[in-house]
Amino acid sequence: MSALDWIVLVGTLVFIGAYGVWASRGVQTVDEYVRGGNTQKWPTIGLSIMATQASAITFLSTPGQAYQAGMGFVQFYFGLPLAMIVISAVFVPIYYKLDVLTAYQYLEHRFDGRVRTLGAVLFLVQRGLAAGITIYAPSIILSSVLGWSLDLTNVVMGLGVVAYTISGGQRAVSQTQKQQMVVMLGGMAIATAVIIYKLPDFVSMSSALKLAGALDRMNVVSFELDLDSRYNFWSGITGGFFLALSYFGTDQSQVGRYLSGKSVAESRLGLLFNGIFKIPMQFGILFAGIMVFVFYQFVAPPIFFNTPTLEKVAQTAHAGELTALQGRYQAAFDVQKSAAERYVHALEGGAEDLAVKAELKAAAQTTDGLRAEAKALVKKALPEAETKDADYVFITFVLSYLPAGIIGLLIAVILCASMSSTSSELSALGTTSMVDLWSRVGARAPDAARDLRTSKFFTALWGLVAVGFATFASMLDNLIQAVNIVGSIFYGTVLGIFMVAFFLKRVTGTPTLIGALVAQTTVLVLFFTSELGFLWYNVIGCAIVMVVASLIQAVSPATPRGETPA
Amino acid sequence: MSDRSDDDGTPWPKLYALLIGELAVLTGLFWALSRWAA
Repeated sequence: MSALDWIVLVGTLVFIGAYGVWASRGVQTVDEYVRGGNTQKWPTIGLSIMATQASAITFLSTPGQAYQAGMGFVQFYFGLPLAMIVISAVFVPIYYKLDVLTAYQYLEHRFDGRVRTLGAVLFLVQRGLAAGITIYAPSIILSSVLGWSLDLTNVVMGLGVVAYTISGGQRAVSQTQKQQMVVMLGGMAIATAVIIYKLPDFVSMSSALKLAGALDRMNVVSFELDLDSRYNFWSGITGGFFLALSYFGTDQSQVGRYLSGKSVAESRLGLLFNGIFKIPMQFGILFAGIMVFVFYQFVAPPIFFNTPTLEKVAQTAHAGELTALQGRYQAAFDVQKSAAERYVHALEGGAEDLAVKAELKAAAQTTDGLRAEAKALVKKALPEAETKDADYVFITFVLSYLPAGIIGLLIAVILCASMSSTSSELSALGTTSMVDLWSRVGARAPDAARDLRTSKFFTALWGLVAVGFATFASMLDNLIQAVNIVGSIFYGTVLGIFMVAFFLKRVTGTPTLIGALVAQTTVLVLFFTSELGFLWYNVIGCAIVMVVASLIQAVSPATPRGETPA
Repeated sequence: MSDRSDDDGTPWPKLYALLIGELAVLTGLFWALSRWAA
C-alpha cells in the first residue's frame, strides 16, 4: 500500500472513531447506554441495522461468490423484506409496549424467568463466539495479502471498537455506523465504477453482461424447486424469511438497533428502510464481482487467488509441477481470451455468434479444470492450507489493479464493516449480560453510576473474549467452522420460542421449554445424520418448537401454578 | 423518553404493500435479466 492509501485508511478510521466518542459524550445512565436514550430517527436506525449485518466478509466474500458461482446468492435475501414486515407489524409494538431493553426480557413477561434465561444464554454463547470470528475472518485475509501481523490486526481492530463502544454505548455504535455505512457504500460504488472503467474499450455494458451470462454467471433468479441447489427463489423466500425473522427479530445485536428509536414509527421505518435497500445493495456487491469476472476474461487471473499460499507452494518440492501447470494455464487462458474477444466483437456487431459462444464455454471449462488441478496441488504440497480461494478474489483484484488512494478506501470499507458488526455485537452482549443475567442475581439497591459501570465492564469483558478468541482462532480452524454451524443450529429454536410467544397466546412456559428441547435435539440429530442445507434448520427448528409446545399445552390438564397464559 | 404508541397515523399497510411490490418488481427484473443474458 502507498502512503496515500495509508493516509486515506487511517484518516477514515480515526475520524469515525473520534466522531463516535464525540457524538455520544455525556452518557450517564444504563438506559442511555443501552438504548441511546431513545433518540434515534429512522435513517440512523436503518443504516445502523444494515451496517450491523454487513460484516467484512460481506465485502470480501460476496464479490468472490459472484465471480465463481454467479449472481444467484442474491436470492438468499428475498425473504428479508417479508421478515421486516412481520417484525414491524408484530414484534416492534410489543417490545415498545413492554418497554424492554432486550428481546429476552420480553420472554419473562410472556412466559417466565427460565425461558428468558434460556434465550439470553443461547444468544450469549452463539454471539460471543461469533464476535471473535467477525474480527478474525477479515484479519486472516488482510494479514495474509498485506503482510500485516495477524495478532496485531486483531488487537488493534478489536480494542479500537471496544474503546468507542464503551465510551458512548448505543449512541456511539449508531453514530459511527452511519459514517461507516457511507464509507462502505461510497467505497463500493467508486470501486465498481473503476472496475467498469478498466474493462477494454470495445466492451460495452450490454456485451459485458452477455459475456458473463454466456459463462453462467448471470443466473440471478431460478424458479426451479431443487432442494440440493443452495440458492433458488423458493429456498430464499422461505429459509431466508425464517433466518431474517430470527436474526432481526430475536438477536439482540439487531433488536438493540431499533429499540434505540425515538418511537414505534421510527423503529418501523428503520426496519422497512433495511427491507427496501438490502436486496439492491447485495445485488450491487455481487455486480462488482461480475465486473471483476468480465475484467479477468481479458487479463489473466492468477491460477489460485490466494497468492501468498501459492508462493509457499513454490517453495516446496512441488515447485516444478506448479510451473508446468501455470504454463498450461496461460496457454488455455489465451485460447479463452481470444474466444471472449471474438464473442464480444460479434455482439458489438449486432449478432450473437453461437459457435464462438460454444468455443468460449469449452475454453472456460478447460481453465476451470486447470484451476481445480492447482487447488489439488496446493492440498498436496501444503495439506493444512485452505483451498477455497473465493474470499481472496476481490481483495487480490483491488490490490493489483485499483489506483493508490482507492486501495486505502477499500481496505477502510472492509475494516469499517468489521468494526460496525463488532460494535453492535459487543454492545448487545454487554447489555444482555447486564440486563438479563447480572441484574437478576441477588437484590441490589438501584445505583445509576454503578449499573453504568457494570454495563461498560461487561462490554469490555466480551470485547476481550472476542479479541482473545480471534487471536487463538488461527490454531483452531475447525472450531471456526463449528462456530458458524452452531449459529445456524440454534437460530431455529430461538425463533420458535419467540413465535410461540407472539402467536400462540395460550401456550405457557413449561411446554415451550420442552418444545425448545425437542426441537434442538432434532436439529442436532439432523445435523449429524443428514446433508440438509443449513437454511432449512431454521424452518424445522422453529416449526418443532411451535408444534410440540402446542401439543403439550393441549394435553396439559391445567395451567401450572405461577404460569399465566398471556 | 420514547413515544410508545403505535397509532401515529402512518399508513403502514400501504408501506408494507410497497415493500412486497418492490420485491415482486425486483424478482421480475432479475428473472428477465437472467433470461436475456443466458
